[in-house]
Amino acid sequence: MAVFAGALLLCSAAQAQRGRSGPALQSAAYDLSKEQSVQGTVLKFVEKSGTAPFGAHVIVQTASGQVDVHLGDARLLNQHNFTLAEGSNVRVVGITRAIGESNVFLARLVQVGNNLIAVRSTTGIPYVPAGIRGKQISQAAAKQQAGAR
Amino acid sequence: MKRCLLTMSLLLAIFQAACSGGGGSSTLPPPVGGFSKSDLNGQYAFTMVGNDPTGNVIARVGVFIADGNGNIQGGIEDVDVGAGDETLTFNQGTTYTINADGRGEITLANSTTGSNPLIFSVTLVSPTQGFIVQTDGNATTSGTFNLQNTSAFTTASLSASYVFDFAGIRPDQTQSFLPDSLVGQLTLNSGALQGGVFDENFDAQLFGPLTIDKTNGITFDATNGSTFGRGTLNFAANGTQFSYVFYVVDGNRLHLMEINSASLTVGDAIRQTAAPANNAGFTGSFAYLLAGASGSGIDTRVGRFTADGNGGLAGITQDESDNGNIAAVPSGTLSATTYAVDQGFPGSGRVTITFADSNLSHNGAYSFIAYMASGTQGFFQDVENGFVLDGQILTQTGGPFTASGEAGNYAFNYSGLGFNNSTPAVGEEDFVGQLKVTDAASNNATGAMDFNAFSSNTGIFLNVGVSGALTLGGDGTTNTGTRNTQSLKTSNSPSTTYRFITYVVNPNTMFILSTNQDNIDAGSMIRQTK
Repeated sequence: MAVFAGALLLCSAAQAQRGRSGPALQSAAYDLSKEQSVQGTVLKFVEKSGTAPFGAHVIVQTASGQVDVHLGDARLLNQHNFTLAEGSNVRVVGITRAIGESNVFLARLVQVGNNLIAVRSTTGIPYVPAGIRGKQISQAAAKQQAGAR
Repeated sequence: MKRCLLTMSLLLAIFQAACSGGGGSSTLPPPVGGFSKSDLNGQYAFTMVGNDPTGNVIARVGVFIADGNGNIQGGIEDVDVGAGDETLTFNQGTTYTINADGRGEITLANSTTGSNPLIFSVTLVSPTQGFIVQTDGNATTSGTFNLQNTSAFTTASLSASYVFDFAGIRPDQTQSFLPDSLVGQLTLNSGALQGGVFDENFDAQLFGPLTIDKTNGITFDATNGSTFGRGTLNFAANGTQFSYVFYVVDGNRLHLMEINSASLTVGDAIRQTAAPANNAGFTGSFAYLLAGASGSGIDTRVGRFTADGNGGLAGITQDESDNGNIAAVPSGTLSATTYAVDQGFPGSGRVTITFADSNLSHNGAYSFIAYMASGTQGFFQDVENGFVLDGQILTQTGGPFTASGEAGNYAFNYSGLGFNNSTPAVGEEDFVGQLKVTDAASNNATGAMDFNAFSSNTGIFLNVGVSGALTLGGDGTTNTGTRNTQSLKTSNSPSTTYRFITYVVNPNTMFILSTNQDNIDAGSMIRQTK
């Protein structure tokens, strides 16, 4: 899932998502039109936060202050050898949502240098660590394109 | 996954140092109950889902044969460890144990396991069903097993309507995986599909209701169909073909796993006997249990409501752990408390259910789709904006519930995601055990369990004693009073206390939802028969 910079960021966020059962009949809660880009320096990266929502968080020092960014499942980052070293420059695309009594910035895309990873879909659902299955998918996708589904 | 994807040494190397649960086994009191190895006797169909230590999704369905005397006499499984379906035969010659409390261990060997057979911890509910968790360290998976009725291994025995619930993962256009849920209904006649309907919630996008084509159907495996009840189900909808391998439990239930696809969804189909035809047919109190994902991560929900037979809901309560953020309905004012039996698909048992909470419904109303097998049970899909969850719905009967009424021995299983409280480690966790509940006011629950916690350094915990309390704060059948709770404190060192909100479904069944911030788990407790 980690890809070179630009590929996903340049994509229209509102990519039409066609499921195997045809077009979706209802949009999800994640509002792409409200996405923001946060850019700054990594102050701290933790694979597990002490407060909900659990999962990986990165504290980004921006020109306007610190932003706590939720990155989803840390296993996804690990599977793609995606690291967020302190002091590195990072760009994050996502939205701010109220979760419980806190506002949390939910990342969809994270970029460090030339490495970009999508941690959420365009509907805001965190990607699932796929491991071995992810490596097999090219073959499966080829089968699907051939008409076997 | 199962299987031998990883050796134990690799597994242990992956685990982080400190753990939240503590060490392995502990000294247990004598098991309480009337079970023995003779209670595991016959062919059992199982279904299991979980993760390997890296988070890779794994699923398996199959059959094992127990001789009632501690010996496994073979079996078969279809297993997907990330590379698609494999069909493997279990060897004769492995063993199992069953203690008086219904807890035990099963070992299964196939051509991939060599000298290290698969190991499973089980707890019997009765001689015909139980919970099962893989505890060999290769993976952590959990599920159920049921005694097969071998006379049902014919298409004629399965000529009926079934409701189904398949859940798992599916790739999007970037070939990355997201949660997927399909619930629906289909009708078979001598193996041929007579049509049906289903709803898919993939990546919080809703597809449905979609009509299932009147083509394809079920076919029993020429080699393993008559012996193990193995076959395949194929159906098409909206130009897409779906394929599943199934194992027949009996004419009323099948275990299924998706094959021939990059997607992997797993679940059961249960026979539909008297689907509600209108709102009057969907009446009374219901409890439900859901697990899946939200924009925050893993999400679990448990709740109850009363349907008035006329499209209205009352007595609504719901509890949720949204990746550790606990929320309880009602919090504010409830509105839009309605349901409707779908008249567009007569006989399907499809019911839509909604309610909104003024403090919590930020994404629109809580919304669900049920496919009822009868007026008393069905499958449940959460279709609130931004959520992908699925589970079961059962009528809530036997209330008001009391401590004396709930006393007894229970088999339990709960699963989810665990976070190490000392290290960054995160991983799936699966628990199986037995609990004796008395009618005492406090400290009324004791028992033992085995579990995997891939967020811990130990990983596998066997024969861990537990004690705690089932506290009935209200009668559990209305939205008044405090919640019913359950605690389980482990006897190992350092000890961990797992805390749950409990919904009593009936005098024999409870749904449980973890309220620990480090354990996003849900499951059930079922009264044992011995």
